[in-house]
Amino acid sequence: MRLGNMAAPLDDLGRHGRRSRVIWHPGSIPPYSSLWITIQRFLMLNQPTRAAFAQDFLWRKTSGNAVAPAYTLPRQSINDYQMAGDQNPIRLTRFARVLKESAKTFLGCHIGNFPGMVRPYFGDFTVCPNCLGEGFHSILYSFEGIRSCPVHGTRLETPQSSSAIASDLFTNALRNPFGGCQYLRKVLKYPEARIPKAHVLRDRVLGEIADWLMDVDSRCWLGQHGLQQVEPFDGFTKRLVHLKSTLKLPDAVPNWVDTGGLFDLDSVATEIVRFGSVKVYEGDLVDIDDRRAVRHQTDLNIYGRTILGDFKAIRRYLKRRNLGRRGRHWLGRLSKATNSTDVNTLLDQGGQKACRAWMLLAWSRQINEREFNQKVGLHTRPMRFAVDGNIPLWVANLRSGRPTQGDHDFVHLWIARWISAAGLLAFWRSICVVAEEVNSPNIVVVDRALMAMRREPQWCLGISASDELTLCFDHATSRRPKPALL
Amino acid sequence: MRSNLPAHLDPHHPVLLQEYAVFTPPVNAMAQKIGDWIDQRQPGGYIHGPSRFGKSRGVKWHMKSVLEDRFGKLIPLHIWTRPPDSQFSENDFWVSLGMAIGFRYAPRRATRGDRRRLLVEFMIATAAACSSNFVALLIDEAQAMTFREWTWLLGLQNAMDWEGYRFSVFSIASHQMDYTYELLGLSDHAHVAARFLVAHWPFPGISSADEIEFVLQGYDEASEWPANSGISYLAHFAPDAYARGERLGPCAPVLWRVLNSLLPAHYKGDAEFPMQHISRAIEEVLIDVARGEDWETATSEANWIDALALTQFTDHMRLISAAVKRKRAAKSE
Repeated sequence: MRLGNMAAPLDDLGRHGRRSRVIWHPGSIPPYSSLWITIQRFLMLNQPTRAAFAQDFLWRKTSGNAVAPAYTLPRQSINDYQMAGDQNPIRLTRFARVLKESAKTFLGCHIGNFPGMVRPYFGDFTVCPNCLGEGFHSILYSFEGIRSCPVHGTRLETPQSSSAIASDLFTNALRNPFGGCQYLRKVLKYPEARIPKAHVLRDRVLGEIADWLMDVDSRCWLGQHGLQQVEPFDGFTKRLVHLKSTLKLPDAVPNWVDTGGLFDLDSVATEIVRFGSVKVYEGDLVDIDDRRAVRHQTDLNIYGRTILGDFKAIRRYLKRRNLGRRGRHWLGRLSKATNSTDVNTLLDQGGQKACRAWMLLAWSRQINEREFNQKVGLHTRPMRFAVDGNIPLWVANLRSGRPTQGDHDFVHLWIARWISAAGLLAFWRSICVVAEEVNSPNIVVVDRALMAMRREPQWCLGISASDELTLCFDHATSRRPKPALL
Repeated sequence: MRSNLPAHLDPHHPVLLQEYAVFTPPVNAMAQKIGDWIDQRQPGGYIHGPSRFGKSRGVKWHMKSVLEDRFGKLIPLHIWTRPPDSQFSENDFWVSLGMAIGFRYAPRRATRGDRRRLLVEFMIATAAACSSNFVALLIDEAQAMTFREWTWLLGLQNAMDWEGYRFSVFSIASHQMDYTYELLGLSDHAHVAARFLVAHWPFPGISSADEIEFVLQGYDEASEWPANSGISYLAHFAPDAYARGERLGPCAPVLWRVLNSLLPAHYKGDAEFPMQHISRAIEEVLIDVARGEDWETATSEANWIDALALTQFTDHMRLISAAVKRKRAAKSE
């Protein structure tokens, strides 16, 4: 016998007075589909008013940083939220829940999903006209590495290059992504709006690109110290391919790049350091401002003492290794000289040995004054590395047990020490170049030259296929700069 | 709301709120009949019966779960109670239908063509969600449907057909509907009648002492409130009597006798009784017991008569009897 009373009337299909259901076919979002096309399909199937859609799914920007559910449309183009990344105006979790789609379905649906480092390589809004008719569009079509549709082979259209597509489409995508697009209504029919046409090849190609890009910041990190501008796409690709090759990751060189020997690893120019035998897994390392690292408190004293200690050790090593007894003699005399006249006199007397000692002294003084000077505060070398957002944290280490005052992330410290040491040595190598090229260095000229050539080495960090933390330094980049004044 | 309820009764109990429906043999039969029609992919069918027999409550509380049990999966069945407004524009019609089936954007601005398209898409989406190409619409209070509304539904069915989906319309009506089939047939709407009204089934009332006993056992054991508490309705209202082993089920012969005895003089119909009056009488008995009345007294024949008298049972059966006379006269012509 059935129970006489149910806890509530059966309302999952057609309970009177409750309107919570929308027209959607769960599971109909193809992999790597853009948020824009999903919204357009939704608008076509459901035809909500703009206000209704905004009320249901859009955030409103408030005066502060916080966002609140909105009943008004934000004045924001699709490009804004592509680039803003975190400030996506659509309430994606709610949207996914209403559509009965998994949140994972929306991974890679807008540029904000991709690591910040790769976002500059996404260009204008780009479409394949044939894919649009099949109910598909991907944000990956805007990626610089892809120039034609993997399924139809057609050239991808941008607002600049478009010949056949009505400007209405781009206007809609760029200025009014939450309103219906007339052009799309013409090319997209209801059956395809319900369930877009699937293509295994397209999923594979786009999947390869997406995985390759998503590795950045999850398995691969590219240090960008000193880079004022976005690295050219080819350079970025080359660095990433090199790193992935070093890490022995599968598909290090994606199919969409023209290899031709360009991506062969130069073992002489690259120095590789491994983090002992400790295994570090993908997801253990996170950005320093990641929510999971919120309990982390950096002990600046540890960084200060350790990195200063490293500098002193390197200085001792260079002194013993490069100067010899005569050199150390001249080093002692030069260090006591109080003006440039005395220094130039000593350099003339001492010749090559004195010159080398002077270079070591100049190197040491430059670093001491600029990198370990407590008056500079947070700009000192240890402090800078301690809070560097480029260097990830090892949350697996931090989340074990309750945090105590002495706890620190030793992976972060390990990486910071290596980068610091590599930078100091690179600086020394640069000074040696100066020493070779300048026979009678004038103290003022040398100082200015040293300041101009000072830069950190280019480094990459990754988790290898065998889950070893690996740090790579590119020697070429630290040798390359020639002092312009000499 | 009732006055002077004992303290042990929760005022939110579904019996006190009359927000419940005991599962009855007629409801089961109706669900099985609709299940048969779904099996046969009938484009339509109608169920008719006197008012207060429990059709609507059965649909609201039990229909979907019975059908899902039968088919072993979700059934794309939408239920719409036809509002009593007599003047319904096509826009109003689609909005009302869209709202009833739970479509979020039903009342938004749209042309009537768009509204029908939205309904088609909604139906297709629900069919696809159940891995089927079949959708059913169950219209309650279908006696109020106009010719134009049937025609609009016909258009919806054709549009669904074009998309490769089968759309069935099952209607439930009180017995005015008996005449609609003939009326549609005689007024150039035979195609509508042939689609939606050919298959039909009369909804029966409670028609035997055994069925009464089944209903009473629903209160005794096959009910539960709060959910998953294991407390039946009788156990909530009369915990002491329930603990002593008293049950309403054995009262079935008495109640059956009382129901028959309260039929109006010269009653011409079958001995089928409205579920609503029976449930109201049972509620009265439950409250009497809850107020401390002796179990034997509360379930005595005299008390059942009093409880039924409060529901105007005899007057209601007189109305049904009148309709039966009218129908038989029409058939004999």
